[in-house]
Amino acid sequence: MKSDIKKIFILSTAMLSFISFWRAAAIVLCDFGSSAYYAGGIAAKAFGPAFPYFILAVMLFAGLMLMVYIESSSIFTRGGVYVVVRETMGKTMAKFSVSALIFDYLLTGPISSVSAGLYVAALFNIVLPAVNPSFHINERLLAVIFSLFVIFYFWRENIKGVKESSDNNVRIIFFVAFTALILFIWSGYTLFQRGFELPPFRLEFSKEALGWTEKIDWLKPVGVFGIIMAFGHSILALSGLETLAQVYREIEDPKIKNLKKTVIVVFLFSLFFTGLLTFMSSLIIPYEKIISSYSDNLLSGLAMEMAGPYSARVALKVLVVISAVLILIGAVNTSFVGSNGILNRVAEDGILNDWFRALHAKYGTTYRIITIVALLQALIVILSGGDIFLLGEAYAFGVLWSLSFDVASIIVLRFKKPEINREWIFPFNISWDKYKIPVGLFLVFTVLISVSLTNLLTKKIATISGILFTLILYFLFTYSEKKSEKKTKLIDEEKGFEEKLNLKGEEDISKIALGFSKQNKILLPVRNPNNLFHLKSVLEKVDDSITDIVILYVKVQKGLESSGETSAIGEDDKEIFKQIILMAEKYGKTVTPVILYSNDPFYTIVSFALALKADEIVMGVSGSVGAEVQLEKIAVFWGMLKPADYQKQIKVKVVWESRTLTYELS
Amino acid sequence: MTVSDSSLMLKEAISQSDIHILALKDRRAVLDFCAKKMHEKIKKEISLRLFLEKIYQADQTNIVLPSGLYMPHIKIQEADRITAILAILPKGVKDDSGQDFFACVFFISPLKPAFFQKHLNFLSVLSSSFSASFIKKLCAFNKPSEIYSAFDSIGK
Repeated sequence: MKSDIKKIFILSTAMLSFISFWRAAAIVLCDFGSSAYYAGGIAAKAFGPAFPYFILAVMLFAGLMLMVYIESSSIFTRGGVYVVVRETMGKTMAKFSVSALIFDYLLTGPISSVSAGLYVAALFNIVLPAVNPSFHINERLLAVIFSLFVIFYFWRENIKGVKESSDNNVRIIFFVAFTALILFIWSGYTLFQRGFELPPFRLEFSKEALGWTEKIDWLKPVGVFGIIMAFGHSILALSGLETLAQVYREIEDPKIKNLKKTVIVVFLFSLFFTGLLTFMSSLIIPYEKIISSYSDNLLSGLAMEMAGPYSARVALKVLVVISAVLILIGAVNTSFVGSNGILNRVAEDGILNDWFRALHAKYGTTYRIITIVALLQALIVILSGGDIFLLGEAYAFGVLWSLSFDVASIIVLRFKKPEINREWIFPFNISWDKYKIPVGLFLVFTVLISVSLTNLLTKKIATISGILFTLILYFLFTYSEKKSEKKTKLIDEEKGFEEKLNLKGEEDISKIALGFSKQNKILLPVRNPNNLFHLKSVLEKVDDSITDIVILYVKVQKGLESSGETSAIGEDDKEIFKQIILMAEKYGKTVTPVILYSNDPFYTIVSFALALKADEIVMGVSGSVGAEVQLEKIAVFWGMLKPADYQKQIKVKVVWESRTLTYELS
Repeated sequence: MTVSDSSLMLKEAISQSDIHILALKDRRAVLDFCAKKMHEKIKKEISLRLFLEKIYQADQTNIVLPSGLYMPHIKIQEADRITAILAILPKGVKDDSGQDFFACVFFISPLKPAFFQKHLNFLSVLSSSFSASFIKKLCAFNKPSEIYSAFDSIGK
């Protein structure tokens, strides 16, 4: 007898907790703000004394990019480059864009950890000679070793599934802000003591920074091209903006209003911290000294070149190095979480083979993805030999192309879907018919694409490695996708029926509950397609003519791990629903699956049970926490969420092959 | 379960002498304080070291609720009923999860299958009784006796 699946309900959110705009800003700044420690030095080495103007210009441009993210977030709650590009330009372009983003994440780890290592090494070379004058560390070697340790540490933590703590992000940003404040005040004092001259707006490109353009004579007189090239060498200061899209879904209501506050905080902080501090450095440290001594650790150099006693300057340098290590190694963790999240997301879409998503037997994490990310990052560190300039060069590729794809998608969406409700749009538009022609966005895109294309000529290593990596990943995605399609077709042919999942989206949990009106209601949370014994036990016994059998699948997504959308079903979901449907058909019973997105499954189970006025919650045993802890969590949330006038008792069961535990909550 | 049942259950588990008003820095400090106070009641049955080990392990799955309540607990053979220590922290304690807490109910319950229903009921009573507004009210008191009397007002 064929089971009748009418609908699958999908709820956009059923989360336990949301974060304030301060916390969201801290999370973004822990990635975005870290570039202050290396962007200036890399730019100085690339194109000469005009570097602080360009870093400042990039920070101002960052304000425009942040505004682009506000518009994209107002359309896609769970956004980010992959989702936005896929929705507007299709899967092919989405694959390219996500390849660029992964390249970005893969380089975030090495550049951040190597930079931190260089700061530490420079400090050792100041402090330790006081003990032994002949002491000198090879700074790049130490940076490589330090970096490998940091990558190993975060590999281990991510394998164990250690949760991110936004509280740590807040503490780090407060400490960095405190350090920045001291640097500002002391810099002000130094400039007052010594006077200053603005750095010359003169571009002097190094041979490496010219790339292939060294051989293109006719380009040399073109001033604008030089400016674009210099901008391109500074653009790595923009890395980390994607974090804003990932963290948006966790921002508390009113979402867009709080997102704007987040953007303002991020913009002002980075303008002052990255932009102005880099400028201060150029005013205080002679350019030649930046190049000879401080290109790898500019803010340390700023500390050492201040006016004042040597010991005080060393103490300030220690403070700077501590702040550098804290924020930069935090960015390493972000790179793991971000790349793991995006690769999981594309795997769910069927464009990365399931092999990659195998779960760790003990910790339940996607250990293969995490390990591959760690190995690639370690390889990049070793190949770079601790050369921050080389890493910076490569880094800009991923940053630029992922941002370019993002902006292009928002522009396309203005024409493809002008009717979509946008709570906020990027300014400078011309209204025509039903369209808002995005003049402002076009200008932003023009800047990005000019810089992206110029960088292809000026950054040899970035171009070669970036294009190669993008192509490899693109073909890997395409191959995986074709294999997944074949597998699905085969299964359908074997079973002799076509599964059509009729999806219905909802934003209100109570509206979903209205769809169930039978005398009895049983709620069955499911997670693992290999753990459906509890479903079997219900289907064997229950009369579905008087009982609504509601299958609840909670998709747990938190912060940076998430870059998914609300309404599509990924490959993982298809597998579990396939198993549910097959089982329901075997017993000839009607079941209704519901997918809820949340950051806490137990909270969601109880919320939904209350909305349904369920008679029973029947769970399979959890391999990670065990039956008793499952029951305890249900009891806690039951007490917390149950309205005072709710009279109905509920039975809570955990069922597995050898046992059933049954308890009542009232 | 009625409101008066909840109040009764709390008073059975928490005596006035087990209520403390504290100012501590972090979750571990609160846990250690409560655990040591509890251990005084059962020290003949279990060593402090072993007791703390079990508590730290169990704490890995505990969360802080949005109401500001933290409920570390363990089931041990040495307990014959549910016994709790209540710590009120008017200045709050920052937790790594990002959720501050202002009240901690640390309890032990018997490691017996027959007792587990009561254990679940107690957890449910704690999370429903210690709402954010109730915790705020408790934080305003200066004496454990005032806090103990406030249990009578639960749900009213």
